[in-house]
Amino acid sequence: MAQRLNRDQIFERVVEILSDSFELEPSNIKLESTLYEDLDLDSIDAVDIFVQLRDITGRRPDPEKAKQIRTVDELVGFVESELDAAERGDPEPETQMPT
Amino acid sequence: MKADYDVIVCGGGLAGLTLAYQLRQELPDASVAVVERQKRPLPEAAHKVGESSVELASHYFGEVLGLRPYLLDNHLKKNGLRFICGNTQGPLEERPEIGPSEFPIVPSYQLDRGKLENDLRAMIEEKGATLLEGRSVQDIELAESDDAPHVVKTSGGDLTCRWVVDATGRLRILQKKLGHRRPSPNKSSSVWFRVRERVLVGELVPQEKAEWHQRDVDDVRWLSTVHLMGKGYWVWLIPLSTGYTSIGIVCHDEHQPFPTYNTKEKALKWLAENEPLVHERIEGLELEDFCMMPNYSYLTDRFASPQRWTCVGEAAAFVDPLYSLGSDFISMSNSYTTRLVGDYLRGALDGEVLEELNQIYCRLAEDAARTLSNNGRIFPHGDLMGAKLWWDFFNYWSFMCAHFFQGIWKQDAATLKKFRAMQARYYQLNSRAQTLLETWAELKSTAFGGPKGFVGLPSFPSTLADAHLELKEMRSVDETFAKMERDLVIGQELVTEILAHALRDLGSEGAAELGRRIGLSKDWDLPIGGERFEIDALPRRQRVDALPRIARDMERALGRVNGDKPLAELLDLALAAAASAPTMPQPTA
Ligand SMILES: Cc1cc2nc3c(=O)[nH]c(=O)nc-3n(C[C@H](O)[C@H](O)[C@H](O)COP(=O)(O)OP(=O)(O)OC[C@H]3O[C@@H](n4cnc5c(N)ncnc54)[C@H](O)[C@@H]3O)c2cc1C
Repeated sequence: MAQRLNRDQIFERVVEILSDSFELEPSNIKLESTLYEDLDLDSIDAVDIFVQLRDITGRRPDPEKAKQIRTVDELVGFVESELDAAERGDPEPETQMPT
Repeated sequence: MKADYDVIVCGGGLAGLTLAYQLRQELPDASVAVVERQKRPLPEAAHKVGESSVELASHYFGEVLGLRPYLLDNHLKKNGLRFICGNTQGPLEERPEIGPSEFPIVPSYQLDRGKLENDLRAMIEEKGATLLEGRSVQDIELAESDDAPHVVKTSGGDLTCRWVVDATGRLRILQKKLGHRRPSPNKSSSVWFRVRERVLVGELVPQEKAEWHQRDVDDVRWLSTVHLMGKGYWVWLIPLSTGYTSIGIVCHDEHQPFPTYNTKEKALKWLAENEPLVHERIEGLELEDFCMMPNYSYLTDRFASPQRWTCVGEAAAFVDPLYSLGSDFISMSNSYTTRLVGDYLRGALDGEVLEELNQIYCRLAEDAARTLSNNGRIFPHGDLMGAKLWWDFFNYWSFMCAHFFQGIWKQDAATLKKFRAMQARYYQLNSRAQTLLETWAELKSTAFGGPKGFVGLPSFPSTLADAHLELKEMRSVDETFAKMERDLVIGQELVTEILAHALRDLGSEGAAELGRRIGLSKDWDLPIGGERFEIDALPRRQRVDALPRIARDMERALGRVNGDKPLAELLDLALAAAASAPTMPQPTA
């Protein structure tokens, strides 16, 4: 298994995902940026982000938690908590239609 | 009319056995015999090719025949079709991957053909069919008048019947005898074998490439039919419930001549050159049951006749294994046969119904052959293959699956005719889509196009995901027709999006050539130009909000290349080039 990513590395990967997928300038993506206002994303974009985040977390996200995320910082925090959950071996949410 | 049986099915392979089962189930008063030359027990795992089933056949086996509990207990539930394009000489984790991200809701299966056929033989006997094993059919003598029985000449003596079915596979007794064989545009060949262990696609990627592995959160990638795609060829990996893995090489003859891979030794060498990771993984394993089939594709101009015969499965036609459609055509030929035999035995056979079913079967096979030939240049490119899969699946689910799932084939002649006219419209659109994709591939300047990484097939939520889920909803005939009309409009938008992607990708030079080669015209039944093409130049958020849903879906799936000129200008170049070129023959409905 690869080494667990630290917070900075997670941020870097998140910036990469956001800039590659949504034609955003990496330098415009800051921790405090809000997804829906500053970065001008919408709910379908959010779904696509969470699909890509599986590469890092190896887990299917809990849709309730995912819905509450508003900023890049919260997104990074979410990935961290997913990695913690993976380490603890927490059960994943039931398989369902991806939201 | 006096006869030994109402129906004799010649050949008890997958098609013949499932047909006998269906006949006994739906027509319990009909006497049915199956004449099969091979005796039980059939070897498991290494019996026959054709393990992977897709939606239509899975619906047939699981729901129409009612075998779903048996299939779930005895075979593997399949995780869809998965395609890995890109540079075959590089690391697999860097190749674009197109496939389901979640276990598909509409089920499909990986069948162990030996086990299935052994079990089906027992099941049809239980259903009251007569299974005459170890007897081969030498000839079928068709009756000369309507009130005489057919005579089936077998190694164990003559048998008579009122309706005869040819299910002898590639032997094609009736097609040959009556001159109904037709060539296929698909010139391809294949070899396949089994290895006595699981060969998982995940084993081709080092464990430390965590992201590639983690993407597959449930660890079910291996349950897909995995296709490793290269220029003019593909290699399949199919897991079997017995723990074996089926591996096959399929090549378009134009790109990879058959003699370069038609023995065990040559196939291994071919793999070492073309898919080195697979070669490395299986080196040293015994290749069991090595089989080959040069030039495997053929069509027919008649699968059913008013002279009381039908041909089912490969005794009628075989198109191509890429999308595992073999069992789909078995499902259709069997169900149409069951309907025709039922009508006949009730004294209600309508010649027009028979002719409609005959036509739709032959046209669907021809259409599938169009979809699955001359496309080898598309395979290495993630974007092109993604575009092709989006269209092909949308097309498959919208017409062929809907026609089958909704039982259109049980309707009267007028209804069948109406749906056949609809099929002609889908056929024309498909023809355009395929020409467009092939020409885009010919003109592509890079060896491997498209986004790296994973593309959901389908992605959620999307038009394609809806099309898949809607398969399960039962509709009336009128609703089904109306839905096909709506889907055709979406299909036209989808093909227009493929055009937009191709134009941007090829840029001004390629765009003109593309227009010329495909004979692009505003008269096509496609929403070309206009506002949609103007929107394309807007910044992403505005563009995405203004685009039709399908356009956004395609952008999410295929990524986006910005052309060297705005899309509207690229389109003008393509149209102008086409207008100044000599006219191309256009597909007709
Ligand atoms: C390379 C390749 C890959 C494929 N992959 C797939 C796939 O993944 N999924 C899929 O759905 N399909 C696939 N197919 C197609 C699949 O193999 C066929 O659709 C299927 O096997 C056809 O079944 P059948 O019953 O028509 O013919 P067969 O399975 O060939 O059965 C014919 C039967 O008739 C018997 N028979 C023959 N002659 C006589 C005689 N004279 N008298 C009595 N009995 C006789 C034979 O013993 C046999 O049991 C593939 C085909 C090829 C070539």
